[in-house]
Amino acid sequence: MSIIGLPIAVVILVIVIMLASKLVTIVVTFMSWRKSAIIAGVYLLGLILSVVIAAVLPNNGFGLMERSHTGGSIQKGDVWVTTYPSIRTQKDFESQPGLYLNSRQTFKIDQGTVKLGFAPNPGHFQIYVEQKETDDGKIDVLTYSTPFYVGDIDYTKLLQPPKVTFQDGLLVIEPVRQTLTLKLFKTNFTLSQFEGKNAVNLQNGLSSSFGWSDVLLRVPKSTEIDKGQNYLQYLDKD
Amino acid sequence: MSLSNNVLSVASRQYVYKLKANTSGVYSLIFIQVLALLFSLSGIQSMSSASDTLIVNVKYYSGDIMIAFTFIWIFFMALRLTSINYRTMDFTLVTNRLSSHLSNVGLLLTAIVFGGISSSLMGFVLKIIMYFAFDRSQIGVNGFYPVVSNILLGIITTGLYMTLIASMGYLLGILIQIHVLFVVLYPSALFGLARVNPQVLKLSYDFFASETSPLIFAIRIILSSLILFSLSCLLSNRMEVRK
Repeated sequence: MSIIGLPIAVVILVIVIMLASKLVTIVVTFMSWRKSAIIAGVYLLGLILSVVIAAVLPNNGFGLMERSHTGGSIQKGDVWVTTYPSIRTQKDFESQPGLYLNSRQTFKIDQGTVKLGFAPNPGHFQIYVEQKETDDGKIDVLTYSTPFYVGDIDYTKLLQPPKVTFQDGLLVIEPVRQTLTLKLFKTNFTLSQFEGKNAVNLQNGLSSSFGWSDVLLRVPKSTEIDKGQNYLQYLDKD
Repeated sequence: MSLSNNVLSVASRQYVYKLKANTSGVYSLIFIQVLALLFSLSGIQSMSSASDTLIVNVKYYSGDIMIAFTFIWIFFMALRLTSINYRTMDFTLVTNRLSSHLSNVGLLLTAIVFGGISSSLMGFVLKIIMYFAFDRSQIGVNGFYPVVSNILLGIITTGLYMTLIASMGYLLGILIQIHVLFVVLYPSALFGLARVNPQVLKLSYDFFASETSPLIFAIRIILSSLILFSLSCLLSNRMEVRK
């Protein structure tokens, strides 16, 4: 809140409280202290009841069953950037912490015309290619997402995989435009201070980790790929 | 011994009278808590971030606004107890300054207990409204379900903060009785300090709000409140009888 906004908010609140007290004066004319005490008791009882109701509400329907990441050595941050140079083999790829496989598709290809192309501007993808040992006439497309955090919570599973189509020898990988709306509960500041968080520290919000996509193409041995403008990284055999 | 017993019995009788006379405070508290609940429904903090393919909107919800509004309410309750009207009411009772202050503090503590419990539990009303009124698929389940130990700690902490704020409001009220110029002087001094040396305010803020041990936090608040209430008593003793 700005230096002007805060005093204005306080002034508005003071006016509201003054109006409320005027209203109260009118109400009090018709209310004895006994009635007021009863109303106070009912109000408190209602609030206590709300705790009970909140406790027994079923938890199905929540879209965000949050989980803290348990990936051991994984650090918050952009895994794609930090690990990219170290990926040389398929084993390297599979052992990357936090990589989440979000789609897997297999397409049959015509052995005679084995040229592939990518649609222009496929987005922020890092594409890895692994050549199979055989010509099985199938191309496997596996899409992965790197971790996406909000605060300390991992929401990678919410990310939609890119759309992959294969037609007339053209493999198209299209990013899916996605809008995520998250409604999260924050601990009251009267409690969070005992968790080591400063009461006005609002920095623990959206992290810089943004869930990039990695794509792994497993192609038959003799398949050639017309990579166009895209950078492909071929994975070595182990 | 008999004198102190007498003061306590007079103060307790005054407390009962004042409690009956001030039950209307419940309505203003309920009103501002409901108002705060409405404000809280739009979230206390929101952030947006976007890349080429992903737009993320995050909204945080908590009971902070309801607690903050309750803090302001107790401040004005304390301030009101030192106003001319309330002090004039004292003269209809058999009283001295000490018994009057003791009964006022008793009244404030009652308000603090009520305000502390209600503001801490009001967050669950917000959660229940969100559960039924919002698209649940967008809501994170973390922090939704009540934890008894957290509720109790929240109530105690809120109550302690309210005690400190009430003691500050009470002191301000007494200062205003000494000279009306303090109405302007008190906030001006705070504002000036914030401009000239914000570090001092930050230090005093950190002294309470950054303490991570509940026990040390409670000791700090209780001692500070005692000092402020004692100061109020001392200052009012030097005032004329019916000023």
